[in-house]
Amino acid sequence: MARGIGQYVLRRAAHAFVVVLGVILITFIVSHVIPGNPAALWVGAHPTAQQIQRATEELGLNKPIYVQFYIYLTNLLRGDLGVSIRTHDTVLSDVATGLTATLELIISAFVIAVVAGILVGVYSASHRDHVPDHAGRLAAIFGVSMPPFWLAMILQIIFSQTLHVFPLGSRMSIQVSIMYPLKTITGFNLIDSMLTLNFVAFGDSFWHLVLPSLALAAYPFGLTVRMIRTMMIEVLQENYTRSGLAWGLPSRLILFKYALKNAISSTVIALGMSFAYTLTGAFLDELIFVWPGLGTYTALSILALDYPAIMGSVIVVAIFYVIINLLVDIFQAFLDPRVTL
Amino acid sequence: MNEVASESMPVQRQQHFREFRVFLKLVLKNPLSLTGTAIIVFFVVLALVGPFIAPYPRQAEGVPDIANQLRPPDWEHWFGTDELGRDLLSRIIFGARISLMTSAAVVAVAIIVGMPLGAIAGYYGERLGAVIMRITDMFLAFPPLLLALVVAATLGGSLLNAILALIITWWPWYTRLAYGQASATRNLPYVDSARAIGVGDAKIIARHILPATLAPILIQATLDLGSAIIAAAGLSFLGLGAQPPTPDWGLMVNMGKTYFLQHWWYATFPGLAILVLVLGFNLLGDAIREATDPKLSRRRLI
Repeated sequence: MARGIGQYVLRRAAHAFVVVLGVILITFIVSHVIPGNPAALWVGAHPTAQQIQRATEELGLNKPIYVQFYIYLTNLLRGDLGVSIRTHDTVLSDVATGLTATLELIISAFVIAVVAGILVGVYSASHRDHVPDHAGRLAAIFGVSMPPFWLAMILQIIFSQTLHVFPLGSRMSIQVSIMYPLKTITGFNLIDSMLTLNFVAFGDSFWHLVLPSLALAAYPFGLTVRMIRTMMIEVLQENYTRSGLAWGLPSRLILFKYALKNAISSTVIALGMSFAYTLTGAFLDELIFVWPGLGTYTALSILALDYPAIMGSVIVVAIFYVIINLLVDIFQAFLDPRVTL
Repeated sequence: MNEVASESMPVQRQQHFREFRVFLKLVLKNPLSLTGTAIIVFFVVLALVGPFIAPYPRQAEGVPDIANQLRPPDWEHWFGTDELGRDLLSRIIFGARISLMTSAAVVAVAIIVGMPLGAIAGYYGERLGAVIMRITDMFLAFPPLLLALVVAATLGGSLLNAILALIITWWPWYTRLAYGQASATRNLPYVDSARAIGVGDAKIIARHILPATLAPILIQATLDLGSAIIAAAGLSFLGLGAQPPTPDWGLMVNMGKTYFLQHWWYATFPGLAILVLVLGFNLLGDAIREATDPKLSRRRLI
């Protein structure tokens, strides 16, 4: 059996590698074949013919398309994602700077979505077609129907502008970052402030994290509730759950110990999907909360038509996404070896 | 063989019809799906008669009214006015048509492209099927919305480009769905017998494989109509969709971003319109899925 899993992991990893190559190819095609002139974008507004000519040669756009792809790929393998037009830094360093801020936001949103989603989903399934179920389903449907950028703005109006409970945006308030400066160790504000015992900065960072995480959590919350509910209903129809009930086991034990455990492999898929949506949701969420992460970076790059930055961050995020999917598949294979067959 | 093939079709069709009626009853019985249907019908009617009922149709098309800038909601302007004094209610009414047509176009073209590809991949299997599905996998490897962002950014902001970008990201989902369905169907007795009496591959795919893939695809399409509205709104929110002065809901939220902290109504109402319409599609789609998922209704129907 162990060998079966080993082979499966290898096969999936090889598949993921091919998919990553495909992602790079598609990104490349989008940037080079679709009508639109990267050279003109590179030069900026109101270009002269000579400038475009020079940029075309500089970017290698006059070479055959397969040579261009080869150059693009080899640069990528060396970690060279090009230079951002907007910030004049290498895209790689820009992306690396934004990544931890984004991860902090994504992970906290993900935790909120998953914990709330599992609780509501299980509760909903166990009261199928009764009031708690309708309420749970409605909450889930609201979660996936809300335009995330709009929810973010509504939260700002209510909790920042009107009630003054949470800050409007950014990662820390200026006063705190001047009086209690944070030493960067991991790049995660919450972890760094704990490590340096800087509790003021910890509280401030936490306070700034609340609204962006809530706005970002809505969609994956709805998704998790839906999937958990569906698969719990399925498991609850099985005979062993009915026997458990007949034996008089407490329903909490049946729900969370027996039923949820048997549905664990679908739970993992639900979590993987939720994480994927958190990842892309962060793009608009960060822009509204002025969160200095990868999402803001990409969104600003798009607004400025900063071509290398857009392609670079997209490839990084897509690779990240492929890896998450791979891990979900492998984890699932360990939980349920039938998958490897 | 010949008899089996010719008789199985009408029987099958009857069965489809009966299934459809059972399904219709399930959907109409449920208060959630009934609400969803009512919402969709409401917005479709709004899209059809919008120009006749909107209080300020000329402002909806972009004519400013500088004297009434950023008025809060009152009897004159139920949803207030924007920074050019235009009536938000009228603009939202005009926006219904744009939103519905955008999402319908995205989903329809994605199905037209994706479904036959999946059916062909599933029917032929082997090498051709593998090639098609590997290409599909590559498109599916992008996180949702990300590929659309890149394509739309490359093409430049316009409503048509946003639609094109969303189609490019959406078709592989239907290919995958149709593929699963087609590969389950291709060795069923009625397909085998059609092949045995010498019906051509193209005709088998058109007459037997494609119809078999239709039901799950239509269910998915209902849910996708809502998601496509949100995705298109996200693109216009970034300035990659419809351009001013189009009364597009996502664009209106984007324009309202500058003013919304002092003038709450500007971004709130267009966003609310998106929320309610998408809610309608999701309420209906959820109920349809619940009614048609064999795993969920297994014990219930017996």
